[in-house]
Amino acid sequence: MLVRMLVVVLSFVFCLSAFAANDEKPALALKMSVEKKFVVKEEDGKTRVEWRPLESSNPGDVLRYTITYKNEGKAEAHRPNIVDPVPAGTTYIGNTAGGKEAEVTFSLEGKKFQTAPALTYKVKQPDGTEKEFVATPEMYTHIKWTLTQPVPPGGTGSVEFQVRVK
Amino acid sequence: MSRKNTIRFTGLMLLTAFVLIMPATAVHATGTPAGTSITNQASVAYEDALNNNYSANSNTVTTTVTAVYTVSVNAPVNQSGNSDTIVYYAYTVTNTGNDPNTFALSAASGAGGNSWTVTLIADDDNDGNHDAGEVTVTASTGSIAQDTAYKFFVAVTIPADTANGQTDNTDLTITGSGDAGAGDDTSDSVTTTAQAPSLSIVKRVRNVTDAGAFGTTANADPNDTLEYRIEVTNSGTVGATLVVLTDNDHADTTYTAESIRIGSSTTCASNTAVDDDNTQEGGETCATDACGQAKAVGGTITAYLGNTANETTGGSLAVSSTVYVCFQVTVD
Repeated sequence: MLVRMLVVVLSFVFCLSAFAANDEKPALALKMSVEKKFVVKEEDGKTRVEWRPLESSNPGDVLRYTITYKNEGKAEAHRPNIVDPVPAGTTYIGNTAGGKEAEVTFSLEGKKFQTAPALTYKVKQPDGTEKEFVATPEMYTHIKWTLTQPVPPGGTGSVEFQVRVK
Repeated sequence: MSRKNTIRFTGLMLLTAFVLIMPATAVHATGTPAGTSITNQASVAYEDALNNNYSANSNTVTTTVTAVYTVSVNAPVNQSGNSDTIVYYAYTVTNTGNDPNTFALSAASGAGGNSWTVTLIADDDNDGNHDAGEVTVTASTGSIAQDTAYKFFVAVTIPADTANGQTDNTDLTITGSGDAGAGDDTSDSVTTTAQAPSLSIVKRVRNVTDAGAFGTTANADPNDTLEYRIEVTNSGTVGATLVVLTDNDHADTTYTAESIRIGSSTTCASNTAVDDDNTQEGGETCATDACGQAKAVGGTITAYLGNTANETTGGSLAVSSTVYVCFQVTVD
């Protein structure tokens, strides 16, 4: 009897600890939004930029994607890496990717990420040798934001980048 | 030539009367086709304190690319042409929008010039050069896909006998059917100049008996000898051919036989004496512009001038060439 009671108690404690472990998981949620760039010309001739929600776009339009993250879990999220492919039909606009406490790297194929100056590609020359060039922003296919600080439970932030519709 | 981008006016215009709002648009030659969906979805990978891995995806954002109708056309340089010829201007219309479009083509003689005939001719082999067999009249590009070009010619006919330097303006209008606005309309204008020979004649006279100098008039007594000098110059932009000079203004005088001299000098004695009979002998053919053959029949001097001239046919005078014809008469 004593043994049976001990098993029941132990099982209860185990279950409690299991539930406690689930509750302590991090849970990052991402939300994506997009806006379109408008140039507003004032009466005095000065211009200012305004971003507005959009449903459609034209070739040449500048779009800004914002990715908001929130830790809806009970534990810190460590080493978050947010990755977003540059949407097909658009090209990335240089120096527009950013975010608070985020290191930004880029890729030309979605696997190997590097900072912009270090991102190179090789072109085979007529003599058979390969020549290395620094990739231009229009060539980037993926963007990665590596957050430098853990995201605490309830913590939130955002990263963003801009593209031009081809 | 001009290209206009689409300007979108938004509702905010109603609220802010003096604020002009337009998308920050720079239309690219190679646009994403209308109707294309641009989708985007981000992902995140992270860990917990125990290095367990987690991942999540964002919602997907979709944007539809709308149609933009734009056009470009080249601006060929102005041309010149001989009278009674056709000048062809090579045009290329390019659909720079992101949807198929059809462009109506029309051209007309513009203001301020003549009214020469204008015709639009299709460039059948798309090589930008008008070939003899290309005669198809066109008034439309037909439907052309985005980033696709249509080539044609604006053919301007310079009428026969048009004087040197005459011009005509030709206005080309290209009207797209993609939108009701002017975003896919454009135009160009060219000016065509006629090239023709332009011969000037300056006649002078001097009294030989009095050893006078050439002038517009000369005093003379009966039996005095007068010398006439006629300067013929081509001040046009193309060479003159079949140049024949006729002078029958000899009232009260009598032509002095064998006195015709033709050449490049203002001093008649330095020019070449010309056989003035009415017979074409062998060898009487000019080899230079400042040369001529002549005849004096019934008091009328007829001079066949220029390179290749002989006693029956005029020769050619190149641009800026001058030839002098001299002859003498006796006052009756």
